[in-house]
Amino acid sequence: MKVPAKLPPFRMSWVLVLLVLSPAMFHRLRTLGDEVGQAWRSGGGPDASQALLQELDAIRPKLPPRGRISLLLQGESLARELRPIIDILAPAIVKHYQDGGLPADTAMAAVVKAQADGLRSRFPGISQGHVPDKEEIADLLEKIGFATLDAGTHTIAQYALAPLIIDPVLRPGLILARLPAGKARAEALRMGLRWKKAVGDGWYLLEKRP
Amino acid sequence: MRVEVYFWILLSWLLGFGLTSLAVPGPRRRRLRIALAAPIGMGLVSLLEFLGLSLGWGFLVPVAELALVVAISFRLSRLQRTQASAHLSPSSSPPCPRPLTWALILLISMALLSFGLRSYHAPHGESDAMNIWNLHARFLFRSPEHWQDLFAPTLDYSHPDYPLLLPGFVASTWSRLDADTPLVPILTAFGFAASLVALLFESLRGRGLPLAASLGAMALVAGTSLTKFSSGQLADVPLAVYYLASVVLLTLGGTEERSRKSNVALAGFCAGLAAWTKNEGQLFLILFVACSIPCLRHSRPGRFWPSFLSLLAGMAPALMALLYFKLAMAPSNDLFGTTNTAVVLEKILDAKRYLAILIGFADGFLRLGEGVLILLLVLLFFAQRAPQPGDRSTRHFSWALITLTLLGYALVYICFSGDVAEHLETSLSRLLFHVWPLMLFALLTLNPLAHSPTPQDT
Repeated sequence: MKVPAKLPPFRMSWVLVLLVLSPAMFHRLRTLGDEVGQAWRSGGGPDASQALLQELDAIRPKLPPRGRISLLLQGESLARELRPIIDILAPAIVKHYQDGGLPADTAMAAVVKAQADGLRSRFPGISQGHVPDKEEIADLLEKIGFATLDAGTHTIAQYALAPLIIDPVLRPGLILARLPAGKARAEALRMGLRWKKAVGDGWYLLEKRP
Repeated sequence: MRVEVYFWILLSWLLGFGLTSLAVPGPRRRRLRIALAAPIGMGLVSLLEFLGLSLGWGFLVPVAELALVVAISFRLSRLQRTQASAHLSPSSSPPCPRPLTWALILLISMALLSFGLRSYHAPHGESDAMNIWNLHARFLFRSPEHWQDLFAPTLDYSHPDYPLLLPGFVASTWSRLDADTPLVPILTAFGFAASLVALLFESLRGRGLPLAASLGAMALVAGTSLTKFSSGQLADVPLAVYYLASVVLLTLGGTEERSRKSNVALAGFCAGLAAWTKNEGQLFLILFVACSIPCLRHSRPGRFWPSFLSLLAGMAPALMALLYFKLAMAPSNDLFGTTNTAVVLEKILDAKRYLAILIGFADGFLRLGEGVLILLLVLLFFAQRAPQPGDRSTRHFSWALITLTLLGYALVYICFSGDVAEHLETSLSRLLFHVWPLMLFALLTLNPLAHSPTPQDT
């Protein structure tokens, strides 16, 4: 568009500028109000993921400086964190085995598929046409471990424990486990893991032999 | 410890100020140099850190940093003596209208409060910061000899091929402190965000457009994206700073040939740093070089080659680091590395993808700056001014760069996205933010509110 050299006079004033910006300014004020309200309600403390991060950050110096490690949350933490996920996941996996259907949610579908593939490769009985029921799947998932069930926990653990590389599934080698207090050794033995040492409050370093 | 954090971060900003002062001399541009100090200093330290890590001489980086500060200070003191003898005085730009200044201060205070609250609540940043930028920084700091462990296939989700400007600077500062305190990424993010606002304001005010400067800075600060992305410690704010800085510096006028060449070299350095920040910056770098050719030919007839070579020389340090990182170390990108020609062709021929992208972009523009863009366009339609000298090449250069960058982003969505709708939803607002300050600069430079006071006005 060609701009003529002489234009009709149009004086821009600060009033007009403020008018143009007023919706954005109002939005900014409202957002700030929400943020202050949220900070007030949460008491300014960290959210759940940040709390796990702080917990893992504290035990990191007691772990090897680098290498691979698997993460296992069982026992009390299983009851608190895993069980609801397994309750959702197990029926979805059953459905996956029965008719190949996956949950509509993309992330959930990916988790179900990963777990189903994991179960199939680890438990040959399943791949021979057997459709496990919900309880059986929950039991198998507990045996495999937690990591890939919750990508959020895996990535937070990876961030907290870097440069250690956190395996998303239990593999032979070192395992960082959160086990029920007082029953940790028995729990480790029950799972066929070798005891290494306690590294924090409820956190233990174990080993899985090949 | 806290004092040490501020010391090392401020030292990097001082280094940036010194380097910018060498490239953009003169008392009239002091505020512009201050605005550019943080991004240029942090970018330079990041490159030094990468060099140190690659050569295994990480311990020499702080020494090199201090030596550079001393050398630049010495050079500057000599330059200042020359300028003092030439009796150069700072020229005063027209002042901003007082109500707008107060409104801007109010908005900045609100943005600061928002940044502080968000940083307090999530000191390690948003999930992208923890999964990518700060995670990579932790590998660089905690395991400098084996930092390439971050390329392990298990960490694919963390985009290990992303360049290392942010992780490099953060890890470098952590190394000086010998502790990985979250205060460092918070202050780094703050430095980039503050620079972005200051740079937009100063680049317009320095052109004699005080009303436009206030409007631009207010539009940027009033939107919630700036505080959201910066307190989230994402690399999108640094990228927006480098995009804007490259264009502002390349289109900066000047009377002396030496000074013009150094402006262009610094513009090239900023474009190189954009490529060293994020993969999108690599597309920008290519487009920036392509668009600068006609711009330099037009604005510096007869002096094209010296200017163009200065531009290439400016981008060389970051470009070399990037090429070494990409070709010798990093795995292939998840978008480009896992696809083949047949799949891309199928996606290109899918009309639904074009429609989804078109709708996504339209929606993104409507929401840009919480609707400010649309209102601004309406306002500026009525507020045209007669073009000033130098406007034409600036206008063509800026808009060509913005348009091509957005087209490039759209092309990536078309050819490589798996689920376009999901990809648009998770990334488009950040991609549009890369060019938002540049759009404000281009709109307000050319269409302004630029009514310079005339004798009748005064």
